[in-house]
Amino acid sequence: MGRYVVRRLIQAIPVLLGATLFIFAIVFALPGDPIAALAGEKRQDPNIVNILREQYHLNDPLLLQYWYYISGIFLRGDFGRTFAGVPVSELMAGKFQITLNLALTALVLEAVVGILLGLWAALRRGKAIDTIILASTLLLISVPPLVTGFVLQLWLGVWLKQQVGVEIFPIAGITAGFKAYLLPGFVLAGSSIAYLTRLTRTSLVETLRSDYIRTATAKGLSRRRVIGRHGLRNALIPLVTYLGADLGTLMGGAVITETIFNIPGIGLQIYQGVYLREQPIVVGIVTILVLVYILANLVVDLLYAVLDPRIRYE
Amino acid sequence: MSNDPQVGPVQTATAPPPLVTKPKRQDRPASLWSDALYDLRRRPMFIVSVALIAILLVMSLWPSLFASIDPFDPKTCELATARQGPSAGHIFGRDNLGCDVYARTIYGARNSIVIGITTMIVTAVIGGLLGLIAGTRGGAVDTVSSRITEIFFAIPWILGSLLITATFRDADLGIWIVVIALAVLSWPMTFRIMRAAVITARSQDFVVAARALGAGQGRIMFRHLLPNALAPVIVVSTINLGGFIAAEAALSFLGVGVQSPNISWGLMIADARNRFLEAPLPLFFPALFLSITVLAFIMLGDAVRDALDPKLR
Amino acid sequence: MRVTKGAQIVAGTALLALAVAACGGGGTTTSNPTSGGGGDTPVRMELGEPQNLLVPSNTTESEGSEVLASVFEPLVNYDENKQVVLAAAESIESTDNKVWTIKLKSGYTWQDGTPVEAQNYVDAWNYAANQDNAQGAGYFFGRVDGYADLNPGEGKQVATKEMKGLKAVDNTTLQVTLTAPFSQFKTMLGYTAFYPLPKSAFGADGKVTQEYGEKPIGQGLFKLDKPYKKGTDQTIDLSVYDKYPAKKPTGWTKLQFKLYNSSETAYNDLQGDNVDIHDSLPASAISSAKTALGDRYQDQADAGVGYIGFPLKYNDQYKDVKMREAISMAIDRKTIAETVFSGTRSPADDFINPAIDGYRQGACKACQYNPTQAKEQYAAANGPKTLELGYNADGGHKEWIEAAANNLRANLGVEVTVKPFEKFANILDDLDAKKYKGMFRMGWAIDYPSAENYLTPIFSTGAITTGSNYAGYSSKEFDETVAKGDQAATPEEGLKLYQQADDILIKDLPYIPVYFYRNNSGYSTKVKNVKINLLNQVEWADVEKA
Repeated sequence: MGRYVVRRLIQAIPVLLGATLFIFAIVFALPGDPIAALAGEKRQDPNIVNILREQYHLNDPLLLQYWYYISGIFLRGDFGRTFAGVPVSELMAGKFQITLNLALTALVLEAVVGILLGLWAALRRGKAIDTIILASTLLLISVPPLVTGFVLQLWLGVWLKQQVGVEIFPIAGITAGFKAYLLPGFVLAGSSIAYLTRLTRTSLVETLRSDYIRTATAKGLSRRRVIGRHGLRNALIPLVTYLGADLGTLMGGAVITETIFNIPGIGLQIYQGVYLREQPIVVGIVTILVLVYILANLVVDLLYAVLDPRIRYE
Repeated sequence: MSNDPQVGPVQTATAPPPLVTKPKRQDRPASLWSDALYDLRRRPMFIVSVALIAILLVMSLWPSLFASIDPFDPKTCELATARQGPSAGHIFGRDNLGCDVYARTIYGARNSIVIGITTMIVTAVIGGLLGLIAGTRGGAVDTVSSRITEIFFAIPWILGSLLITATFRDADLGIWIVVIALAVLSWPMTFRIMRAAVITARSQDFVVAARALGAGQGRIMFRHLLPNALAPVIVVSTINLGGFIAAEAALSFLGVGVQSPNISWGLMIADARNRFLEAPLPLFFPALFLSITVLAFIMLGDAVRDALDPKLR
Repeated sequence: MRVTKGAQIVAGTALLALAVAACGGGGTTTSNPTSGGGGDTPVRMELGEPQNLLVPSNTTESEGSEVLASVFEPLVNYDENKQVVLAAAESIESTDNKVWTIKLKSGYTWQDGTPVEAQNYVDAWNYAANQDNAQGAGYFFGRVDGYADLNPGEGKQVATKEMKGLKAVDNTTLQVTLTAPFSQFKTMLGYTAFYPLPKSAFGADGKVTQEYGEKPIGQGLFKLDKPYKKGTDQTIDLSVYDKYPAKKPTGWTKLQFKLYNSSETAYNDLQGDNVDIHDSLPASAISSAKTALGDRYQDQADAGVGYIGFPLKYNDQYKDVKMREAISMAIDRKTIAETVFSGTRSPADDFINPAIDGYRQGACKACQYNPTQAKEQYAAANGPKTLELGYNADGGHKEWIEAAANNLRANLGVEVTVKPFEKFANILDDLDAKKYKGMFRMGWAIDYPSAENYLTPIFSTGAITTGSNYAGYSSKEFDETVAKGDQAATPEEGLKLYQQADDILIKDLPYIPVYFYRNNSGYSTKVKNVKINLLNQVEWADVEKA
């Protein structure tokens, strides 16, 4: 097990370097001058521009810049500074927390709604409710967050507020605290809920078909016990791993949701970073997202081993 | 799409070899494809989605059949009537610049369809071909290409395409930059599925037999492996098509996709956004068309998967 | 120029207002203490995230300036009649408009307890002007004698650290010598760039420290409670400084800036009384604000101007002034101001803004919408069949540019290509590189409230290389008239000459003025008597709790 973890971590290094270099090269190639972008609408003094360019190594070749950057992260834990002089790590910490809050809200919604719906559909397979649930998953997958976001803003945010007179779902920002994450969390979770519902249904249906369930039923165990104790437990394995891997996807996919709901997380930050050509921020965020992705997948694989006794790593 | 790693691809890839499907009806050759087609024609979901897609295709080829107003003619916009609700002649109302929302929505179909289908073809061909080679050859080729796909998998999909489109926005590539950005980050999905399917097929008896009979590498690849690995790739590509259309809208919404004066639903949503709470209709209609289009393609993909992959039924 | 809130108003959405508005988000949510009239509940004001750390000489945008204005006392302020009034200065005098003597009022102390001295001004200004420090507001000191020594040019060593025109005569007297007489010098002194800095602001290397930028120590009404961590903090909290010698607010002592990344969100909060003052209401909120806020909604002139500029030095097609007039007359400014901007702009009819002394209503005749005459005149002038109109996509300009382009298409019968550029600077680069030869949008927010500021920096021959004269307009008559105004014995006399220069611009139309900015603000039921001054800053001492 230990050796497996080490091997997986070593394997992750080229992936991490490749992904960050790819991003770095693209961001490096972004049109427009980051220093000029800072000036707003005034033509900037060329002296000042040059001094700042030197400070941020912008005059160096790409690979050298990349080396400064990546070595800074891994040798000194230094993500550099934004062009406004703020350490990127400081800036990112707060933003990641916000996106993590959002992604976790989405994940909880996803787990609760997805598993319950999937369970319901599986137990009523072939019945009307099964068809309805499957049809709704199709809708959830098909309607992009770009649409659900605005529709829910208007319906649950504005209309509902007019009906009941109190704001139940804030439509923008995070000043309202936890409840501000509910609508965007649902929008972000959207298609994941649908996939999880389907996965739960398929997984449970397959499990219930398997021999040991038939044995358990034949032994005379109650249906509740068969499903609860034997069926669900085994059907849960793919669900847990799906959820684990989904956290990274949710965090990386939050840009549209954060833009619609004005959630000041990494999605919005990276989007602004692209416009301001803040290489340190963009690359920093993507680097961490790549790390999250790799770690999440590793954890998921290990979780498999823990949950499913049939799988063992040397 | 990308957040569907387990459900779609993996399961399709591990599906039982298609050739062992049971012969269904007497006198019919037991071909996967004819079986699937027979099966599909009886599915209402398939019929509805094909009908919708047919309408959308006509709409994108000849939008003037549907809308009498040419949205590219500035004289049809009247600033003073901005954000007016539906009226005769302007059944979806007017947008922020006083232009007809209905005509713009109709004309917006073209970019969605063109970008979606092109991206699908590019990813299917590139990812499929590389997957086929990696799966057949194995060894170092396989290892290296698999590592490379891991790099792309690790990059958050929407952020990656945002960066690529933003970088090459000034390159005057028009809507094709969207295709490139989406394809660069999507081909690994097709690659993985093709590779897995090829590897499964490779150890099948008929391939072993062909090899024993002295068939060449190329012949085995294209005559034996490809046809048997094609089904899962087609399924995933069809489902992805819906995703590509949604992604185009997202990128255009973020201001890096299709650019004005070209028309795109994502762009219309972005333009209407500022006044959304005041005047929701200019945002609602393109959103509705976008959703229906994505739904149509995903329904098609679902139906095709059910038909080609009986195990999931 | 200063990046204005103007951009933020139009932008509204997070997509556009990047340069000015980006919200800092903290991991924790801010608690909203329910105001109950107690002296300790803060007055809360909406703010976009400041672009840089809070250093006066590096703050040229509205959000950072708003914070700094509450922490520092400027030398001068501006009253309701747009006139200069003394604040931290006891007197500002000059006999020749060239050598200025500034006497400081006594009683002002730094918030760390040390006394304010004239040398603090000298240090701050020298620091700001030095190219090695790369300060965004350094250009404000361009008229001071010795500025050139601190700015020898790219890659060259700065030989001195001081401008020779700047002297602390004694602890309370400051003497400033300009390179040429400038009658408007006094009006400049209210700006952020001219705040002093305490000795403690500078580190061992002579640079302003990061600690100072996070928690600036001023000599003004409020002091920061704790360092502001840009990017993470969602609020900036301040308390009244006990030893502030001038007027303090009555009934309250705490001020809180709440950071928003969207003015729509802030407007929502304003309606729910979760924020008290919002001074950049978005266009989409105006119609709602008028009814929902009633007399808590304020609409006043803002000194910014929006133009369409002609590439005079790049493209001969625009040489004919009759053709430029025709383009100007083809644009329906009133409808644009009303529908695109919902009244957050007003149609422009002069080069000088109504917020500033010197504006004359209807001065620009060619700024009136007249499609018939426009068409005739354009045809007579044999104007080109296709026009290009460029804008920067980051400032919320797309809609009005598209609307103006539609006006030109429909009224002149020409093809208009609208071209978005990433940043304003990209338009200028492409013009210089001859990659782009069309018209472009341009905006101007004043550096100091004088009519002169709408003239010299944008249209003088000298501004082609050093200022914002992007059209490349050059008129000897204009340059001379402005110079006479600069040397006029009295401000009144100066103003007359500036208006004459304005007339030359109206005749020549190097740019066409399209709209004037408005300041649209609102406040909650918890405060009253909110006044916003010429610099778009709140007069805190007057604000009362309701």
